[in-house]
Amino acid sequence: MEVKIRNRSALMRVLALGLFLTLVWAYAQLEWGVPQTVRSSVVQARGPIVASDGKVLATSVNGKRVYPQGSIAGQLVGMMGTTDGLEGLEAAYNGPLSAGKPLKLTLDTQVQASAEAALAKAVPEHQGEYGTVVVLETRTGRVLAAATYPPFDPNVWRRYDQATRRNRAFVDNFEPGSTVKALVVAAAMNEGLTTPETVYDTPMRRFVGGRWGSTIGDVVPHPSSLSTQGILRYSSNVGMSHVVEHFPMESMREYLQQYGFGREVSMPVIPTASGQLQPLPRWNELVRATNAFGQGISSTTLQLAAAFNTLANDGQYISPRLVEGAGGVERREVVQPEVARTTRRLLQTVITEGIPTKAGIKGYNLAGKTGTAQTVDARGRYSATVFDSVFAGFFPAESPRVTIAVMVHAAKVEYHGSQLAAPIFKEISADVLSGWAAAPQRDSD
Amino acid sequence: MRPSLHRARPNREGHPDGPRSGPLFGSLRRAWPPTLAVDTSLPTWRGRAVRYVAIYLLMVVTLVIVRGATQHIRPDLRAAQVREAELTTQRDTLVLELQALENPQRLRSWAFANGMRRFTDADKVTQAIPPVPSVPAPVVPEHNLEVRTQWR
Repeated sequence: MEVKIRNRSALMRVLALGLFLTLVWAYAQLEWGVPQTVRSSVVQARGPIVASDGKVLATSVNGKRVYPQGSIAGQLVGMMGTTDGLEGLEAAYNGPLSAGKPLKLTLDTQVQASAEAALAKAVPEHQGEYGTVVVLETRTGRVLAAATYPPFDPNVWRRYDQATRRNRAFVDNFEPGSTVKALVVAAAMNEGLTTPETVYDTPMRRFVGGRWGSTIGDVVPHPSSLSTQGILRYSSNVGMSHVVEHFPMESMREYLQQYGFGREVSMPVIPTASGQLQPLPRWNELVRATNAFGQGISSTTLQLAAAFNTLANDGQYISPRLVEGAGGVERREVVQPEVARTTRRLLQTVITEGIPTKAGIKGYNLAGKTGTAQTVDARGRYSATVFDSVFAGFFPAESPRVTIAVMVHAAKVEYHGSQLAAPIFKEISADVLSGWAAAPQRDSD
Repeated sequence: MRPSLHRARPNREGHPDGPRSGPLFGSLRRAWPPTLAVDTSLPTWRGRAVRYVAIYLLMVVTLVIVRGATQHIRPDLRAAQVREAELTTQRDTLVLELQALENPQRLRSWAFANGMRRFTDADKVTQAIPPVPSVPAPVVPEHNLEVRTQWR
């Protein structure tokens, strides 16, 4: 009897131990097993990011987030951490993507690849630090490309530093320099303050601003008198100071704001910088003159592209959009259509007469404006050695379909806009026009 | 097994008619409560047991046969699930590889390395379109159609 009881007791102990171990195993599953599974399913269920031409920029395979196109639009797409997006669109659209919704972009990977290739070729050649390009579809404001150099591959994002991961085309501010001249001339023509044929005395240097003024000067040698068309052609700062001499400051600042400078880009959710436009109380004659040639204001490449797109789009500003169906598109008329057309003609002359080999393509009508902007150093002064090479333009000039803005920072070799940014514009334009198989025009041969 | 309704239950003493087995009590006992007499005879039990065992054996045999006949289904299903998972992974990987191989940067570099020239850079020749050779006017056969209308 006693033996029987002892055996049963032993059996009960074994049984109890077994049950206890089962409990421990189940708890361990909860503690270690479940989060792994959850993570895997979270990643697997995450929506893909797709370009407008169907190329998948980000997707989930076997519980991993992968970026099949590698470095194409890397900074724009951003990357994903353990369960959430960390940067770029992965972070901005983390909610919808986590809910399994696909994100369709307006990007065209062919144009994007072309922009990235043009930067990758030119920036190292000119020993630049970094460069950005934004390409917009003129009539709709759809972003066809937003490229940043050096490239960034989100598949191996830990290998890159914070600066390389930054989507500079949207968030880095710089002084747009002489590119702004075209926009200011359009505004002045819209106000009836000048015409393409109006002639101004244009010495190489001029003192502007009265008691608190300063001397402004030109870089490109030019005749002692220039028409408005010549001012753009020779990129004369002195000439611009004449053009805006009677421009009411409030009105000119308002025009710049209407072009999108100094205000948020209406692009929901996506982080963008707004640039800077000096507050009206700080405006004086000198500020007006320097703003007329793009000093003292700052913008992103995206803002510059959107501003030039206004001229391309018959005077209508249309806010850029990157995500299909995201909404929030702003439209407003900044200058009259005929003024925009006249300005386009002036900008076409800038290329055909000024830099036909650097920015022009035989048989095609391209229009644009160069800019070489000084940068502000750590002490808050304009650097004498570090420049931003800028170009903004569109094509075909008579009826634009695509607007492009280019910026390369701190190039050490041939850093002028016409030497560096303009050829990048030309390279991208050639790719896009070839993609269209657009027939050349015999008139412009 | 036929229940007999009129069988008297034995009392405590084992007699059908005990101390309270007067005419009145006897009649009451017979009428209330009604009792079921179960046929518990050996042949009945034996027959019943044989039937039940036979049914049980039949069910067992049926189940064993069905189990035997379907034993491959579960492993097959598991194998199919594993294969499906493998194929899904393979498809995803192939789609991914295709996407990577179709990378526009890669295609562009390859094309330029293999002598591609842009359309805009290529030399273009123009040629006047020759005039359309004069074709003699087609001879229209004379064919007169006469219509006669008759009004009624």
